[in-house]
Amino acid sequence: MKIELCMGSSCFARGNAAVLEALELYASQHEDCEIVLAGHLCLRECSKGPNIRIDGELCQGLGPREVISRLKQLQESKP
Amino acid sequence: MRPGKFVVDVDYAQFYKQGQRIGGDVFLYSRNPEKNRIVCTLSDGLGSGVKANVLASMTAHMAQKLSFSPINAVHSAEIIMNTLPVCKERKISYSTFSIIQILLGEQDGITAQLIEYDNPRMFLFDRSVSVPVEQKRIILDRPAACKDESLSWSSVGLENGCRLIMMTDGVTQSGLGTHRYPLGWRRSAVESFIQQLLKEDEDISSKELARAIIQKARALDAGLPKDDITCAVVTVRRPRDLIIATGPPYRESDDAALVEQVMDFQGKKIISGGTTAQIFSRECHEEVRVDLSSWNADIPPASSMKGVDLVTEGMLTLNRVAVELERRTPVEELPPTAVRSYLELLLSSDRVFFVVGTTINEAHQDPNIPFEIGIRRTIIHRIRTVLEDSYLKETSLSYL
Repeated sequence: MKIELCMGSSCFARGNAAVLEALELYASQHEDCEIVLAGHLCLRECSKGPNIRIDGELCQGLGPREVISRLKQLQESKP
Repeated sequence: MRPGKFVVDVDYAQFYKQGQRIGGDVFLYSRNPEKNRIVCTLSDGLGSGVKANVLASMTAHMAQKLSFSPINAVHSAEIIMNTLPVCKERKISYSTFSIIQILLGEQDGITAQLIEYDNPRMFLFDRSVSVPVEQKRIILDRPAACKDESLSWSSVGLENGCRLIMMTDGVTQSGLGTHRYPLGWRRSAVESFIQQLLKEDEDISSKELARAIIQKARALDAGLPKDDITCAVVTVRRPRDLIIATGPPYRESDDAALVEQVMDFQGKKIISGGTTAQIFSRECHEEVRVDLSSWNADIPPASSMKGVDLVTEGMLTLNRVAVELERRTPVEELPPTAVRSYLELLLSSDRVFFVVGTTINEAHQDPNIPFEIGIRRTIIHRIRTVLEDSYLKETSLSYL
């Protein structure tokens, strides 16, 4: 699973700093999940941020807890 | 910015005597508003700790003030000497000093007047060769003193590659009483040490050279300085230039001009801002990679792009750069984030060219996000001011 996080000023300040921290922690505790984290420059969606992309799908306005639960959902729904 | 071919790089390094939290050695340097004169003063107050610090500070501040006045150098020094009290018990002056007054001429000529009172004699190096300086002794009339008091004065021309190195006796007397250095490190051995360092690295910065000297001195004191140890270095060299591109240009049609100006620049390059980086990436057909290994809760990660020395996020990083410069935080004490790399590049440069794009990101005006995400022009102004006033850098600014 590839998760891209917008590291632009606005998204970083609106919560992606905390999201990245939460994801790094989650990834280190769930090594079997194969999560690839990547930073991204401004996605030009600042006003709806923080922005992340999970396997290409744009997810907006999520905090760390919401991102983790979204991640769990996606993993559970996988065959 | 002065059009001259050379710049003057001034820096110093210092250890306090073991167990002291304040120093009796004081180094000050500043530049006049016309930017054609730099004055450096190193003063060593009698004893150590608070009393010594007060005396040395007083001396150094007087020297700085007088050096910028129309009074000539020798007369200034005499005023200081005659103002300084003489210790009742020891019959010696409370504070020694060395002053370097650097005059930057219109055409690249740089001259320095050296005034020395009881500190170890300064060194003049031309690349790795120590050059003897002819001194004129000026006898002072000080009835309270027990010995003939004299100042020494000299005037030297400084060319590219010249250095003046001044130090307090904490350097020359380090190792005193040890088997190897019963009389301390001494001036001639310090000279050979510096010569060796300069032979190994002719381009060493003033900061690194000063630090190498005090570290050696502290090592000779077995790691526990027996006195305050201070060394200051003045280096004349070709300027190291840095260009900083921050913010997208107001008109998109200026994007190409911005990229061209930066990429053709002879010197180091920083791109400050994600959107700005995307413009460069698009125009240069180079990928920008975000490096997730160096960030913390306050500072977004840096990125990398071929041909650019540093790519960072914009406002949060710039704001913290301004704060750390204003606090004069030593770079080595900063955590390994983009701010540290930024400061390393800024402080190892002599001239900094800012190219500021004035497009405003509407989302940054949202009251829910930190106030640090403010106005780019204001933050750049703060950075320029502190670079010029506290670090004696030359800067220029253009808007796009």
